[in-house]
Amino acid sequence: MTITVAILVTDAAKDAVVAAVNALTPEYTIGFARKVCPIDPAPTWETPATHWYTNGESVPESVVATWQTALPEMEGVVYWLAYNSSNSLEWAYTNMASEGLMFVPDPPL
Amino acid sequence: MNLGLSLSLTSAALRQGGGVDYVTQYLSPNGEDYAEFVLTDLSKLFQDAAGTTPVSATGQVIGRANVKAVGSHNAQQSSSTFKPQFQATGAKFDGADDNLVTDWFAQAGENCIIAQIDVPVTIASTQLLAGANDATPNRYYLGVDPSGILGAGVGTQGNGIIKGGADLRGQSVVVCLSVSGSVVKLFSGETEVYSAAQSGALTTSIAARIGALGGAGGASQYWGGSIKHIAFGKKAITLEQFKQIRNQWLAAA
Repeated sequence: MTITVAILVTDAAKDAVVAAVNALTPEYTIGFARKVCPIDPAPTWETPATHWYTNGESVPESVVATWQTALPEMEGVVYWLAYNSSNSLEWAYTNMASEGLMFVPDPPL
Repeated sequence: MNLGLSLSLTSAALRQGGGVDYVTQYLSPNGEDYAEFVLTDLSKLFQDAAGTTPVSATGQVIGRANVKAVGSHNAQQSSSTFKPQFQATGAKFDGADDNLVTDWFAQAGENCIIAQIDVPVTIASTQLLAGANDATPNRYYLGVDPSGILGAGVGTQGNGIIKGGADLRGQSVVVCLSVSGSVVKLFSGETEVYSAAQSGALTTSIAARIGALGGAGGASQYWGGSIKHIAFGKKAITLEQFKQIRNQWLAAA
């Protein structure tokens, strides 16, 4: 069994959450690279990020247990768990939509 | 009986490419720099970026990949949630934020990227299996658009121009971008799917990423499929050379 964990954090809380989580579980660190914004019919890559999203596939059970205790205590954090997830990107779209959010588009190629 | 033995030996020799490693032969005929990553080879994969904890089982993260041949090139990722996952099909990238940062830079003139990949079934926006752009942008990337069409960025031209071939969604394929300095080619399967004059220069200042586009501000255009094997070279290769490399990689799979 693998456990996938997705974490959504507000822009204001991002740096503090990264520092706190990485101090708790240095053996499994997190980062946020994907900008998230409210659902918008015409977003651009310059749309400001209100939130940030990441997910880790096959997160160790001990790490998940620590996070389940700590994350609910942190302000500005929403997280989801999935077991044996095979398509975490589709799952990400669903997770964010449930919060009224979407990825900010990538810069033009 | 003799005939059977002869056929058997011939078949084995063909599978092994007659002992010739075609990547080395065509990307480094005189010792030129190249970087070949076999993302199914556990002896070259580590869970941490420092390369101290080997990958030993399916489902573990890949934090570092070392090159196949003797050399120091590597691809790393230090943040656990950005690390791809080891699977029998190679490195599985999540399409959200997974990527490996290489120490590979394109050069002015000849360059190539060759990759054996599993393409996602659905692609919401263009996903890149490798490459880099600088701020200009001087483009250097290879990927697949939402219609499953292979595309590349080279110099001033993006994958809206440099593209070709059939819908690759859901397929296992070997693909290639070959740049001579004056001509850009794309190969897919056993076919040349694009060939035209090059416009502009590739970035030589931003390191290529695997599983995303490297940029001055970080990564983007994340890959949501698997990458089994990928090689970066400073040579333009022909379709025939690509096919020999492809067949050797497929035979080893």
